Amino acid sequence: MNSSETFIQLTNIFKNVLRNPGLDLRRDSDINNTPGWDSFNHIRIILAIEKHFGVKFTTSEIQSWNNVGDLTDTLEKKLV
Amino acid sequence: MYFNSIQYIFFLPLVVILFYLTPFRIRWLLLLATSYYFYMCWKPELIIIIIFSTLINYLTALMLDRDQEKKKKRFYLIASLVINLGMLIFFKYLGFLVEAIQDIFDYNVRDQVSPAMYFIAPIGISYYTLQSLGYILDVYYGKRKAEKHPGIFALYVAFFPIILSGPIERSTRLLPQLRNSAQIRLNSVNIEEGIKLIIWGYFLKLVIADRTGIYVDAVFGNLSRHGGITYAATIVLYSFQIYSDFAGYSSIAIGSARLMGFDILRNFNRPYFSATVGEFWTRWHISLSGWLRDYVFNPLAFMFVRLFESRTSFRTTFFTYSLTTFLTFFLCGFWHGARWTFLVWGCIHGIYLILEHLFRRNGKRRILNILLTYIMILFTWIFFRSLSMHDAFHIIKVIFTHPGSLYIPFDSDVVAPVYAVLGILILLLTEIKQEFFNNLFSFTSNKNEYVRMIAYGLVVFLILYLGVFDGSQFMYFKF
Repeated sequence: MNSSETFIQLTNIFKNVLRNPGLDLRRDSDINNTPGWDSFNHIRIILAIEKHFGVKFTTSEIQSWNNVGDLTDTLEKKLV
Repeated sequence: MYFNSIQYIFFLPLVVILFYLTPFRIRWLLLLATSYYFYMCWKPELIIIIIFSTLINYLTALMLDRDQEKKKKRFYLIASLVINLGMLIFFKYLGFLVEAIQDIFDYNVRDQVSPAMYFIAPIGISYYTLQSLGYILDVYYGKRKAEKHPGIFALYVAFFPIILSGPIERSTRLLPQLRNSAQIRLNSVNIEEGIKLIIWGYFLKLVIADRTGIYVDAVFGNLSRHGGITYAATIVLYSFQIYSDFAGYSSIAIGSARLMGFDILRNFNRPYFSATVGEFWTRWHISLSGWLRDYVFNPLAFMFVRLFESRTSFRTTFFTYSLTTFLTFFLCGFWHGARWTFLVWGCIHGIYLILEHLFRRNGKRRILNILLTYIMILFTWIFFRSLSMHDAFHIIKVIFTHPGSLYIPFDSDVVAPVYAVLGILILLLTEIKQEFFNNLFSFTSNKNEYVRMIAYGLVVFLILYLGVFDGSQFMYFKF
């Protein structure tokens, strides 16, 4: 799976959880600048990502992310 | 040194001028020296606690960076948490006792309390402890590397605009700015924005917060005497008092830093215009709620999620969310003070958030939702302001059973609520304009500098005409 494919699937997960089909997700998207992304959905998003890609994130990894870009990088390392 | 004191009016411009005159590479030293001086104006001995805290956290972070072995890292983290939180809890419990005694006898007796007792409650400790802990956690989680320059780190802890009552900054935001202070150049935009924020802060504090405070304190100082209408009016006034006091302080803090080209986190974003309590917490004391979300809620939530490993159903997620939210808001209440009313205040907010995820409101009726949310928040302020649960329940009962008549002071104190209401009206008009009509004509962001100057002049005039000038304390210093 190449990088943009991963990001497309990631975006779909966000769109699904946030119920926003028109969401424009970027690498610098974070909980502060993305409508609907609150603490509740934060949990659901990460669980959905883990389930979809078949990975598990540690608390340290989750806490180290500043934005979707960081999340994507960690995810891609796990998918290799 | 209060922000609303003559000393600060001299101190701040002097520091700003020195900042731009000092050789770039030792700007941090000037800021550190002035920050320590600023802090020591409260009580010189208190600086020892800051220095001790700074040292512990500076070393801990270096060791976290150096030792990558998980067990060792965890040990350093726990040791640091124990020391930082231990100090905070120790000082807060004793500080709380002093405050409780002061509140029972007199509101502003801080100056008359013996130095020994005052020493017990180091001002700002709730704030700089969280700011430092955030840094430790950022290093632990690998979000950033440890700050090797001890002077820059010491400045991060003690930076005078924010040390007393926040905004609680993040290491990833503030440390780079402090490190790069050598690159900041004098520009008129920063100066004007800084002054604008400071003027607005003084308006909020001196006109609204202090004027409403006179009436609110009079009513709360004589609780059995009043009727429900008075209590209702008082809680409404209190909602503006606490907002203006804290937002005013924050505005002065952010403006002071802005004069020197530093960008500090916004702390308030028209909180009473929130359509839900969840939204309220993205607009009220933003630096604290963000801190709690990122350093308490998230790690706890994922810890619970791992406990329920195999069940990732919506119901389990909801249960995890509810439990973690409740605990986080309990802590939020506790952070404000070891008083039942603070804990209950926090818990009610936690319950609100849980209920809001169970029963989603009709999002289309924004104005109605704003009003409903405001009333929900008002209810919680009853607890927040009351010294005891008994007082809080008394107020609630009387509001619904004995309306009575509105208390209007018959002496010179009548000026206070009148000026307060005037100030509140100006605030509301300003915020309604910013919230709903921001594309229309602007006064303080107008391109024409004469329009801007007139606007600032008008606000300054209002401050001088309506403001309270006996140097009262900022309320959020207590936390």
